Amino acid sequence: MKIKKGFEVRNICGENIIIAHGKENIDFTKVVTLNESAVLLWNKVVDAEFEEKDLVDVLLEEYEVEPSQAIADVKSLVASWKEAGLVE
Amino acid sequence: MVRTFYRVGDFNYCVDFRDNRNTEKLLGSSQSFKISASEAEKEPLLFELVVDDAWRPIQKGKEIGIFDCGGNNHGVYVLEDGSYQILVCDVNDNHCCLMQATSDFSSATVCLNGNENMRSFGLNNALMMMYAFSSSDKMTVLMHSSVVRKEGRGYLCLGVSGTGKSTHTSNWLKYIQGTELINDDNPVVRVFANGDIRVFGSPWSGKTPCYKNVFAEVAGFLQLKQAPYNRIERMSIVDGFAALLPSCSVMKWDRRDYVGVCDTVSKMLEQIPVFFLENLPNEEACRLSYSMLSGEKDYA
Repeated sequence: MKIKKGFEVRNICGENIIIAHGKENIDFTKVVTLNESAVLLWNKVVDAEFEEKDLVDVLLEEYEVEPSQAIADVKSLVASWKEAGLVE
Repeated sequence: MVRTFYRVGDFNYCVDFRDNRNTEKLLGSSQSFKISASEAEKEPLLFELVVDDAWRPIQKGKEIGIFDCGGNNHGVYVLEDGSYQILVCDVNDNHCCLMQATSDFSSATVCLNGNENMRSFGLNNALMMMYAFSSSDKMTVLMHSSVVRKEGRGYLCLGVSGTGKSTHTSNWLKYIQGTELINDDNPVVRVFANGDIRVFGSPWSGKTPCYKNVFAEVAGFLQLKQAPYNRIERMSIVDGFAALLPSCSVMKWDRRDYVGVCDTVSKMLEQIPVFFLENLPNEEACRLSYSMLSGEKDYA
């Protein structure tokens, strides 16, 4: 999967908010925020093809977290990105 | 050929009438914003708009979309070099104005069509877009709102058409002493380098002829919703962003413009509170909103 073209994270007054530009995203009207670790993951995989496993690896590298926890967190994050229409 | 100059939101711009058919009479709502050429030349112009009925585009751009702009449609097309073509139609779908603008909207040419009303409507819409899209990367936005001023401070009511923005501000005029209407549809909000955030009257005020060349320090935003009761609460940064962003004139597909507007809204949120007001159209509602926004009542 990959993050759709035109989506980017901007710091809006301390909050990491995803904004969508480009002709393809005219109808995107949601306001999606990312927490600190989600921003880290986002920045690692933006502009590239990735799998859930790649995100798990990033989490394990950057945070002291059990592999089972990292897998569960990534699953739920990717599910929410999919639901919000951020990845394809 | 008559070059006319205007100053809106502390920016100067030029409308250059090149043909014999169209004159500044089409810009009646701009008259209180007119300045002399020598005054305008003191700083760089925000944009220059040429009006020339003899002008025709050489090629047609690729369609971005047809957008409903409050009852009337704008067709937007983009050329290979990034220039925009925008066709302004009135509520009956008659072509009123065709504009071709550079990608940064610093200059454009329009040709107008139809009777005086259609021409005036088309040219004012073109001007409004030129203003919004050329100033968006200069910490400035046009905000769809009804705005009142009291003691030098400005209060902006936001919400989609029909939520009662004008009703709420007209109740302020009625019940809160010393309040005046600055603009009822599309004021300019500008963040200055020194941190000042000001709202300015503009030549664009929707159905209400309120074209005042005045400004106020922005004191607060009020997102309105009709309800069978009155209740007010301060919105979080994220909710405030979600309320302010759709109120700004923006080309969502254009990164320069969209990022400029997002960053301007971000600056506003750093300093200005946004309140959510569920309300009845009555005196109690405006006393409640005034006491919160003016700081008369502590909201911390």
